Amino acid sequence: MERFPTFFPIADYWARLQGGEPQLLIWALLVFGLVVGILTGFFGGGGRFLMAPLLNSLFNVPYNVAVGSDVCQMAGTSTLNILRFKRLNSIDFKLGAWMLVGTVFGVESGAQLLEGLKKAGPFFLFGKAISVMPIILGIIYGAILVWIGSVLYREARTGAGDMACEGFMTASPPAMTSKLQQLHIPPMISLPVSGIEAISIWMILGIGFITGLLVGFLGGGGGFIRMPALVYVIGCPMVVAIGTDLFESVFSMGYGTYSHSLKGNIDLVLVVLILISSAVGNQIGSLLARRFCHPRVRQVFAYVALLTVLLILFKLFL
Amino acid sequence: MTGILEYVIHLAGDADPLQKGFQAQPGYIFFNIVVPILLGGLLSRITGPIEWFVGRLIGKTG
Repeated sequence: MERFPTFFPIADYWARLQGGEPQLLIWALLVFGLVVGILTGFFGGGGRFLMAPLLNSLFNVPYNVAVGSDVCQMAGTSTLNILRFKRLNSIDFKLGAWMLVGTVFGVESGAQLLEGLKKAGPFFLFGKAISVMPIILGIIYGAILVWIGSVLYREARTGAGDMACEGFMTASPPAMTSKLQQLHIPPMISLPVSGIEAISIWMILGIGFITGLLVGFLGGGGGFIRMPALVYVIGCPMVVAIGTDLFESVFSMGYGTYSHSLKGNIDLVLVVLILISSAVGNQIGSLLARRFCHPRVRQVFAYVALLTVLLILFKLFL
Repeated sequence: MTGILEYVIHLAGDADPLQKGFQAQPGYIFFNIVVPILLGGLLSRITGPIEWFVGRLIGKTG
């Protein structure tokens, strides 16, 4: 099979610096993007956490390039989603703008954390040189995927997945959210579009920072945290949360792309291939979800997550 | 086509390999931001017909 290593100069550059070689085939990347897109469209935002670890495990793309390229392709996906969003008047721009301030700091902090790991030299275990970045990120992705998989598996067994199939958020609001909503740490602002009279600005900045940190450090999975936070912690109506999340996503991914570009973490050819294939896959996945959604089917994601964790472990230790 | 690809590969290279770390070129940053946004805009038009086609296919066979 013909290989096109020079088509992916950034992935090649960092892989060689880290003592590896990416195994990138154009057709394989297109199939991969399509499959991850279908999974994301079918199972929701949790699927976004599959992209970077699988790019590393299957194609030997260094984690910094996998994360940077994932953020960059999410900038395109976010543009696509907001252009197709029919209810732009439901976006709470005031909430989105304040949240964006926290997000920008979060994205930069996350990207700097990744930069620190990238620059950290290897450590030696039993005489073998091991890079810090794949170990740390492998453990974090593994933990997140195990958590998402176990939540979906539990929902499928208890029947809570029925609600997810109907388009409702499945997680019940944590007990601490009502306490968080009652926090009165000045300055307070009102959010008329969301129907909120007064909310501490620090809470909005905090949510923005945490989601930004995830985006900058782990790639395009911020919406997975942001959506429940908008609904359950801030108290937005669902339609406002969806619109505001899309608005937030475009700018946070845009800033993430800029920040990772400065650090040389984005391989544009890789981005274009994955963006095209995952966008098509996403549409197919969301259609399949509407047609075939069943709690038992949602259980499949638990197995996909488990398989990904096994691949991460295989890549790390063998 | 080959010329475009060569230009993209050149842009993605380290601007100053003699300096420590990766030195991003301004064109590399510009294209990294503009290309996915433009592509996302284009895909928002293309995915509509795909959605319609797959929707019909699933509707009939599913």
